[in-house]
Amino acid sequence: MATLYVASTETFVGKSAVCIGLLRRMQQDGFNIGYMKPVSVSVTHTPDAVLDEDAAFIRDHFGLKEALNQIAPVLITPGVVETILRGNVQSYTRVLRDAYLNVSRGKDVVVLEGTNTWSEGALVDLTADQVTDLLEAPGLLVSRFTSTLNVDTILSVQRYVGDRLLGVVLNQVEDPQRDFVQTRVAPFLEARGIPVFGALPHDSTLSGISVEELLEQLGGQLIGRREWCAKTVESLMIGAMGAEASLSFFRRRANKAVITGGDRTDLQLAALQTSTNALVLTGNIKPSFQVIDKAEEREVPIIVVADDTLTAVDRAENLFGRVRFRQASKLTRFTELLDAHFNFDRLYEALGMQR
Amino acid sequence: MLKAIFTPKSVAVIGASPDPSRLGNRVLKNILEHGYTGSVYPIHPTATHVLERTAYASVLAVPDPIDLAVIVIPAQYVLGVVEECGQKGVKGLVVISAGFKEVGGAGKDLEHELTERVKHYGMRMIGPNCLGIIDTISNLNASFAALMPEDGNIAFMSQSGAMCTAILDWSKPQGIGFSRFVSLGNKADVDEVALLQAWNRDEHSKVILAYLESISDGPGFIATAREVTKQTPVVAIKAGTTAAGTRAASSHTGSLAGSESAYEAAFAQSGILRAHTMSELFDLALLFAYQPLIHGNRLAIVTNAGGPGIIATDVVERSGMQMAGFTAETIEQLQAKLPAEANVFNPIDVIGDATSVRYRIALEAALADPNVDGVVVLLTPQAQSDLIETVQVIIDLSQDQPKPVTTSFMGGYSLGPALALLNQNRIPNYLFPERAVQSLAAMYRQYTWSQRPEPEYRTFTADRERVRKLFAEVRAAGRVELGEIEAREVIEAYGMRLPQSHLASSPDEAAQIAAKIGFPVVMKISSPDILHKSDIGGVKVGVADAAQARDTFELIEYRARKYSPDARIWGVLVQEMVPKGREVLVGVSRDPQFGPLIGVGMGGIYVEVLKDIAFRLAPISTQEVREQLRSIRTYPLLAGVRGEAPADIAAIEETVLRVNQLVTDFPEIVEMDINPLVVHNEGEGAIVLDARIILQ
Repeated sequence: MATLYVASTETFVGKSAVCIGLLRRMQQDGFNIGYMKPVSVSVTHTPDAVLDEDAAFIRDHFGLKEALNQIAPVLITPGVVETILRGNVQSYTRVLRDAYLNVSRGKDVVVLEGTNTWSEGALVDLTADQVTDLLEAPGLLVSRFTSTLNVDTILSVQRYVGDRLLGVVLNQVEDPQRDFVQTRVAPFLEARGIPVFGALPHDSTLSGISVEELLEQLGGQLIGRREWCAKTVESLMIGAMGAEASLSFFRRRANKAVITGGDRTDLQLAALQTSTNALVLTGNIKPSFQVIDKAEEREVPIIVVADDTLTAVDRAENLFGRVRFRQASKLTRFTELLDAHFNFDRLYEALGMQR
Repeated sequence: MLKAIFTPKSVAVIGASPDPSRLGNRVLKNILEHGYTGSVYPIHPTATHVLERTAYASVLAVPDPIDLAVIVIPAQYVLGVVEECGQKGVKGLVVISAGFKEVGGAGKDLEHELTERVKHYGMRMIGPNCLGIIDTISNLNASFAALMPEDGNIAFMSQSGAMCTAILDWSKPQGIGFSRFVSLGNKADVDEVALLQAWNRDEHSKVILAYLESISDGPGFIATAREVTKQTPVVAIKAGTTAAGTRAASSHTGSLAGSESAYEAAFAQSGILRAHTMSELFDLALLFAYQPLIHGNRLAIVTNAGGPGIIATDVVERSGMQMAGFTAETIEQLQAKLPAEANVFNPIDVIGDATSVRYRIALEAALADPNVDGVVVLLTPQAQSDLIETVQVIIDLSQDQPKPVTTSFMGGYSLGPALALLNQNRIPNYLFPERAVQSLAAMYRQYTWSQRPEPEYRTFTADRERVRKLFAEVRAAGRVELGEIEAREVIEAYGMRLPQSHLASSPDEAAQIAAKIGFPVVMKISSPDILHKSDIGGVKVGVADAAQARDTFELIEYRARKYSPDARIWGVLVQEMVPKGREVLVGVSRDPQFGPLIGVGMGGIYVEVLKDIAFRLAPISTQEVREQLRSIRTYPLLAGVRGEAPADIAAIEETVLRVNQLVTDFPEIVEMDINPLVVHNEGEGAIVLDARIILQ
């Protein structure tokens, strides 16, 4: 049986998506798959449970049979932190190992979704370094390639974990950088003994958020149909200029959300003329019926918020970068990217998996 | 066209109520009281008689055919009666009822259904939500306006019903008459384009006036107006042209106002005379309605006071007209007949103590002079002035001759009867001389427009297929903006020249590319998020060797990162160094109403600080591009000043026309900039240094 630890050194690099993508393909290729999240740092509290939502999603998505508390056995809640700080030591290592034995039983491969950073999990003795050691799981590092500085990080990780670094996947490589990554960066890493399993191009549909999420984050009143909120917003634009200049401005981005004052009918109409997937109107001012009519025609949801424009922008911006992957369309797209740009055979071979 | 609406043989008023406080009653009364001679049928569900006419419960109950139905009932019943009108074979509708698109939501759907129904039966409809129409030829006042205008030959359309009532009310005491008067309302069927078509070659209308807030079909409007203005002057005022005005218009009409530049170009390219104020609209209207068309730009001024004569002369110069130079005969005649102190050169000053006798001498001579195309007669009331007699002279002399005569009798208190007489005899009088001169200048523009040859369009061979494929790829990748390399490909496919250029993603690569191109080179940051590259130090000119190329790569990238840490940086573009030339910008922005709007101006500070750009709408003819380029203020810099060689103007025009072809072939291009286009001296061509393209 093979175990793979999917690691990262920073947040929002696409780790969860990589896990899902790998699991999907492995399942397709006939492997009996298992999944775990050894340490959960962001934990959701619902009235009747405390759980790791991402793990719960993946469990449901693949119809995994193990209980959620086996799939995500260590939840770091404020209570847990408090207990540890008071000196009550409990062996989380043990909890994890037991769960792992349980989950891995009868599996061909188990994918472990690692912590966000190299230091996360230290409080419970379950950092990436410790877990890969404990479960003898080689690590696949997911790195968002933005500049050559990323090479530093990858080399440092290799220095730290040595052979346990199975290789890297470079994610979100901008189009014009792809050539550079393929002809310089990848060969360099390979020469240093770090296999590059894939270099995935940046895809704007993946970095978007749904209007639903935007609405949830901002609160406010929705004008328009709920089903339009499934649309993806890829960027934010602020409407604060004269009407004459606005059209050229709004045309520069596709599938955006436009945040503007509720009284700026001119800008709202201009935004609706371009590729806009949501209008966020500030100052608690409802749009004129003409704007509502136009939005209806184009099926664009309008969110009316009480905040001023600056505050609304601030709050909306918080959503970007921490993109959620739990949308069928995004998962499909990501799987396509993996199929096209990720060398699965090489990974299987490295893990000793045989089809 | 639209005969059934303007000259119907029979009219039904649906909603004609016996109750005098109701709008339907008012409409019926207007039709009956102003001399309409066709049959009139009040339609009312219960009344047997309305205003002593036999009423019918429905149009279907009327035994005779009906040409026009005027509908004045609550919105929710309109569809039903329109259906009946269709079955009855009614040809035209004027829907006064409100409660449609202008109230949004269900009203919008209702209007959509209404329009469908009207189209289904092949009827034509004015409105809904309008004041109605008035036609003084058939004496039909199918409106709820309180007044019937005087007969006249001005055709007027307005998108604002309130503006209609105000103008009616104002025109009446002025004695200004109309041929046709239309409140367009929501323009669900008949819009400004249909009316222009209907009024083309209308013998009863010498001029068409339009008050517009938005234009529904931009290209149709231009095409139709271009045709109509060849014969009939069209004067239009467009409300909502400033930033604040546009906001007001958007809120009022609920449609995205087209840009001011687009309207300016649309009017210029279709020969529409644009009035900027309501008073200008009527200044022009009166001149066109009352006087013959001017055939040249040489004006004579007759005055009894020096000051106003000089003011008028200034305006002549400023408005592109000329002061006529009199023939020797004219001068001799004036010298012989006028007192020695009089000025016999243009402006002719007949001096303060002049009576109608001197005015006769001066005006007669001016009109007879072949060097004069039109005359402005100025008068300041003096002790010796015999106003009525002077007016009579002007009337006598201006009649039955081909040159336009306008007056500016300045004052008010003592002028009443004289002004009334002028107006009755169709001599347009203006309170001040500048308005008289400006109106004649507009008339001259109409004349030159009517003399223009048919437009010619140039086409170039281009690789359309290549661009089509490229755009498909960009769209497939979910992008709207083309990368630098892609934009270059498009430019190339349309036959425009580009410098050699390649993207470097590392210092070494930059040095290699530069060596291949040949030093010196230009290096520029390539990032979709940095628009003003030189502002942040992202452009370096004259990179001389490989070492400099490497350093420059790092420097430029550093600056870009510092300016915007989150910017996507694609690398550094290494480009062949193009010899210096004059920098021109060619920009395109697709206007929602009018389509591609192409601007040209001198680049850099001229565009940014002086906003010196001239716009035209695609498709642009060879003549239009010539005018376009010559209408920028900095044109002399291109033509060459102080012994400088002229720039290759033909190459600029060709670039504009190639861009014109590109954006016409590909309507999905919504924004495009060629900045700069480096233009070399005459005969040496122009080269595109940088281009940006954004797709729908």
